[in-house]
Amino acid sequence: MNFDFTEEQTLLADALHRCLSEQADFATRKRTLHSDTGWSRALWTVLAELGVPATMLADTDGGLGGGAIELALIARATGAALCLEPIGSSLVANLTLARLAPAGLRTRLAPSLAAGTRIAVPTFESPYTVLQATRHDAAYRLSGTARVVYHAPCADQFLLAACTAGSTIADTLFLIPANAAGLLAVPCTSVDGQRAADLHLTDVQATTADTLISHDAAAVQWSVDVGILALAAETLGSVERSIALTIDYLKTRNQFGGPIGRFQALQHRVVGCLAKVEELHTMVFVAAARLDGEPMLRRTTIAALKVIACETAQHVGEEVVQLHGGMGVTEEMEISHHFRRLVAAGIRFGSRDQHLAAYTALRFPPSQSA
Amino acid sequence: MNIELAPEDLAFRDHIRAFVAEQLPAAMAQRLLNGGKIEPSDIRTWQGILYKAGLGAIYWPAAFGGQDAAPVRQYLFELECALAGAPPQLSFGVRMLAPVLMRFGTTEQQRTFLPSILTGETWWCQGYSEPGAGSDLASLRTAAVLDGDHYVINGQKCWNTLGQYADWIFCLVRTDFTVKAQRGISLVLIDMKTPGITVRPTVLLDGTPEVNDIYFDNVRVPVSQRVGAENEGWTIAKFLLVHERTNIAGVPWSKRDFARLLGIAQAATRDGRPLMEDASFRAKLARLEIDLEVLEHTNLRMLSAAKPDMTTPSILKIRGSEVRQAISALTMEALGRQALPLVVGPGDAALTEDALTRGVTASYLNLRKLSIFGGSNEIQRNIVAQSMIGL
Ligand SMILES: Cc1cc2nc3c(=O)[nH]c(=O)nc-3n(C[C@H](O)[C@H](O)[C@H](O)COP(=O)(O)OP(=O)(O)OC[C@H]3O[C@@H](n4cnc5c(N)ncnc54)[C@H](O)[C@@H]3O)c2cc1C
Repeated sequence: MNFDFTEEQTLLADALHRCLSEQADFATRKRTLHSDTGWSRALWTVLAELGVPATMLADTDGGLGGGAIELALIARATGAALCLEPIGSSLVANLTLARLAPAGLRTRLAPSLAAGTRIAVPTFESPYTVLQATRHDAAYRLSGTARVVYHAPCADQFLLAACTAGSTIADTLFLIPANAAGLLAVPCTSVDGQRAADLHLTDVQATTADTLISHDAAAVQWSVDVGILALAAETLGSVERSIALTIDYLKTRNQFGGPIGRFQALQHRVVGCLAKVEELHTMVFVAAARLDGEPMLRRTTIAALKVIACETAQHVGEEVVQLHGGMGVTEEMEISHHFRRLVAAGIRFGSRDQHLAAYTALRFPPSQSA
Repeated sequence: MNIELAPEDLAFRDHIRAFVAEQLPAAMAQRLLNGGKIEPSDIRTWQGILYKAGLGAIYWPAAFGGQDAAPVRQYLFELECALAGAPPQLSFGVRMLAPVLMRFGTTEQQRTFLPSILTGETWWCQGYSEPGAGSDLASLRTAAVLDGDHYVINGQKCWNTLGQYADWIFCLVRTDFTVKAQRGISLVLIDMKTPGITVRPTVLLDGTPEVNDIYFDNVRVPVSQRVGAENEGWTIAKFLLVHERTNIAGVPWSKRDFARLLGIAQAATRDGRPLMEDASFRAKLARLEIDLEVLEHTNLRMLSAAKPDMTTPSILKIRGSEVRQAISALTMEALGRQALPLVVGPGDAALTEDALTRGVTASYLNLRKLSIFGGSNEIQRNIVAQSMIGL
């Protein structure tokens, strides 16, 4: 047994870290955050040249054939850098396409998705959706609303999950163009500064041949699970960076005649955070390793991962702000941006309690206690 | 022992309740109960209404326009106001400076400054903290050098809450650099219009400029605006800490926030089902209500005690901030994904107008401050540990 990364994986992570620390340092990111679009296409292009969006696509489709570990490594780096570009979202959409889409759809879209000239993002964070897919001959009509869809304003394609007649959870996956007739996007900004939109669909035409990825509830759940993995890995990157920033602050902020980091009360708080991060680190890669494995084990592991990720995000987020004193609650400081990212990560893809309930239902169904 | 309110206190509470129902502007109350931002004009308007009714500061001595109200009554007053949707009173004048002036100020200072605090006409801000003097307040360095009958003040204050609206600031300044830090500090009152003062807002993580940096560049302040003796500032600041404890736990605000949480939870759904059908969520609500109940009665136990003790206020500050922060976190959780949008793009009037979600996430972010300011929770723990263990 080993938890080591391959040489290629290490190279990928290193290259990404180097690229982001050079091209997406905090000052640059701040300008991007306050720009009109709220993300940098220039940075996206650089990342595309590095092969980031291609990583998730099959090598036979012009991609790099990466999987869950690569996804986690990339998301972790983008979380540390608080990227505003649609990286996690597009990785999830691309991997879903690579694994589940029929050949026609895949070969048509993969080259541009791999090159980064086309961006696809998912519109769902759980199988529960109010989007309905009604069949009419060789096409579906999609209607309903998807709320706060991350990165929707920069998407060319939406990976969409909908319920067919009689189903209460989503059982179909589509990839539809963002400019489809009948689709209205109302933009908003999330608490972490990332741009999003509410999508209102009214009888959007989705032909089976051009847009249907899968008609299978299990496929929808798998894609949701990829999304949870990406978000948890991003959270890992953000908490790791937050703790590094906090340790720096404790060493340099002087009160009572010396650095505040000399107070044991504060040292122990940092150690509490570090322990949480160790747990999340473990779970991210355990979940990544199990993503393509047995579905039931994958489901419980992903539910456990989100429980740990939510708890870690809240605990570490609140602690690092507190340890910065007043500076922690200012817009100016990087730490407050990590905090907001962690707040959003706690909400997105379902709360701790929702995932704890899912885990409980799988592992300890009521019948067993009888 | 009788833990119930005395009949006179109940009558007092009913009187306040009726007064607030009649006098608090309905539109303001509606907005504030639904998460709207508290505007300076709300605070001024409400203080004016309270003043006209003789309720401007009920716990002040009658001689200064108060009613000599006991701490429990002050609590009841604040609770009724908070639950009905009133804005808070501006504590800097009414709560912080006024008791200091009554105790340490000259008759002239009392005559000059107290009336306009009571009417709400003068907006005060607090100038204690400095970039290098946060928890270690005594290390403050803003210098006040005597020049005839004036002090010449140079330095920088920071974190001045709502200082951009302030007419006056009360400042701790260093009047002696040669003695032990605590012994060289004085309290001075400064007109914000005095030449040499620059105010620069600091944007907080919820996007609002709630605090300010204030720079003093050769600001001349008459010696007559010093409160108490020269170098007595630290003693005065400590006096204030001991006296500023009626509302240290913030129970009225937590109760108001809890009521909003309940409203939101009752309207919320999770995975297509009413949130209140979820047993684990209901258990969290219950647990939080227990915390609130404990907090309220611990607060009342302290307020009604004949002899103040030194550690309870610190513990109430810690628990009060934790409970209020936990309420804000659970409120955000109850909203689920609806809590994500912080700023809503043009065109989505529905979300911005939504009374259910307004301000919930911003408030969670903003209330992180509760465990940081007014003596951080770590400093409060140090105070208790020092007093109880003392090693
Ligand atoms: C929103 C807001 C409003 C404010 N309003 C005002 C105002 O109107 N007027 C005013 O004068 N000030 C105001 N303050 C300032 C506030 O009082 C200070 O922020 C507070 O005293 C903490 O100081 P600091 O921010 O410098 O943190 P630091 O003192 O640098 O503390 C950083 C961290 O170290 C911890 N720490 C420090 N010393 C110790 C120790 N000995 N043992 C263990 N832990 C320790 C702290 O608890 C904190 O977690 C405000 C602050 C905020 C955030």
